Amino acid sequence: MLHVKNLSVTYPDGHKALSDVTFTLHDGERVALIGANGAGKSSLIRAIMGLLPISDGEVAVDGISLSKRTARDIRRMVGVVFQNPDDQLFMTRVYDDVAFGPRNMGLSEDAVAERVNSALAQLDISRLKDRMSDRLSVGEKRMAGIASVLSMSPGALLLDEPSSSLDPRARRILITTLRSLPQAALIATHDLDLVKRLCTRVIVLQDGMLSAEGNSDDILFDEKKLEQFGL
Amino acid sequence: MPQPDFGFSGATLGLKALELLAEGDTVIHRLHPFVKLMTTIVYVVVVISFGRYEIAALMPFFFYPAILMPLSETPCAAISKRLLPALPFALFGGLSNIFFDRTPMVIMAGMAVSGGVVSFVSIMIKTTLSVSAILLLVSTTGIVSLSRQLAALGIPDAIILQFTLTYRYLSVLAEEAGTMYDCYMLRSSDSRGIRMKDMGTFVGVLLLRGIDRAGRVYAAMKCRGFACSLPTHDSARAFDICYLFIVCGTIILLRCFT
Repeated sequence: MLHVKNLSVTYPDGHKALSDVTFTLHDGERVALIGANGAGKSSLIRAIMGLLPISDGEVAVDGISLSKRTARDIRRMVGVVFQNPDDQLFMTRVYDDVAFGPRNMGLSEDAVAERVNSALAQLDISRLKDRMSDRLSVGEKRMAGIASVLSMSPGALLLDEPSSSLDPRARRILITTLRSLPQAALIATHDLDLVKRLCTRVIVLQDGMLSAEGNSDDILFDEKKLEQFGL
Repeated sequence: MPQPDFGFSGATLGLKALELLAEGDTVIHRLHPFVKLMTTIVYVVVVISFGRYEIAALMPFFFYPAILMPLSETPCAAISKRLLPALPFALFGGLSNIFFDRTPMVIMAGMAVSGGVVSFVSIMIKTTLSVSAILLLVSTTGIVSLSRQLAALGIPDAIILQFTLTYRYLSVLAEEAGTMYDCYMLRSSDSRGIRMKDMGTFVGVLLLRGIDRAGRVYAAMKCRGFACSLPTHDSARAFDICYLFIVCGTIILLRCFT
C-alpha cells in the first residue's frame, strides 16, 4: 500500500528532520510510529502527504510515486488525521466538515450526503451531524476529524497523536473505532498502551532516523531499548 | 446578574451564527445561489444609482429586506446587529457633506434643510439598504455557495480564494485572539483590558500564531483535496428563473418610475 524508501527531509534552515527512512505499510495493517518529541514523526506524516519538500528518496502509494503532479491522487488514497482536531475541523457544522473532501472530489450533493452519512454512521456519531464543530468535546472533535477523512474512502490512514487530550472513555472509544476500520493505518503516538492494543508492528524514529522496526511485543516489552530510544 | 464578557469568542460566534442561518430550509434558502446573487447585485446597483438628493425615491426599496426577512425567517436583530459596524463608515463619509454642502434644499417645519443634510441621510439609507441586502444574501446562502457562484460567473479563482480564505481565517484569527485574551486577562485580574504597553507584543504574537494556525488549517484542507478551485452547483430550476425575472424586473421598474 504505502512504500517509503530512503526518505530524507531537510528544512530550509538546514535542520535535518528525516534521514534515510525506509519502511512499508501493507494493506489493512496497523503500524505504530513512535519516538521522543522532535524525533520526526509529524514531519514524516507531512512528507508522505506532500506537505513538506522531500530532499531525497521516494514515497509511493499503490505504485504511484509522490510528486507535485501526483500529490492530489496520493491525498485521495491516504487520509491524514492531524494532531489538533481544531486544525482539521474548519467549517461551521460537522456535516460540512465531513463533506469538504467529497465535495472537492467533484461528487454530486446526493453522493456527498451518502458518504457523509456513511462515515458518521461508521464511527457511530451520526448525532453530531448538525452540531457546530467548535462546540464539540475533544473526543467528539477527534471522531469528527476521522469521519472527515473516512468520507473520502482512503485506502490508508495516517494519524498523528490520535489519543492526545482524550479522557479514558473517549480513548477507549477511539481504540475500538480504529480497530474496526479496515484501512491500513500508520499511527504516530506516545501512547504505548494504545500501541499494544492496536498495532502489530512498530517503527521507532530517533533524531529523524529509523532506529528500530519490528513486532510490537518485542519492542514495547524491552524497557532498556525504550529508554535508549528516549521513550 | 452580570453577563460574562465573551470578547473575541463572541465575535467568532457572531460570524458563525450568520453562516448557521444559511442552513435554514425556507423558500428563500432553497432558491438557487446564482439567482440570489444576481438579485442582490441588481438591487445594490439600483439603490446606489440614485442621486444624492433622492431620498423619497429610495423609500420603496425598503420592501426588499422587509419581505425577504420574514420569508427567510431571518431575525431582524441578526441583520441589524451586523449592520451597525458598517454605519460609522457611512456616517463619517456623509458628515463632510453637511459642512461642505450648505445650499438650502427643502423647508421642513419652517426650517431650511441643507443639501448636505439631505445627501447625508441619502448615504445612510443607501448603506442600510445595500448592507442589509448583502447580509441577507450571506445569511440565506452561505459563503461556500456564494464562492462557487462567483466562480461560475467567471470571477478568477485567485480572487475567490482570497475571499474564501480571508473569511475562513477571520474566525481562526478571532479564536487565537480569544485564547490569548483569556490567558492575558486571567493573569491580570486588575486590568480592564490589554494594556497599551503589552499591545505590541500581543498583536505581534497574534499575527505569528495566526499565520502558523492558518498554515495548519490550509494543510488539512489540501489533504482533503482542496485545489484552489470550487465545484459548481446544479442548474437553476424554472421557479428560480421566475423569481429572478420577477424580483429583478420589479426592482428595475421601481427605478424607472420613482
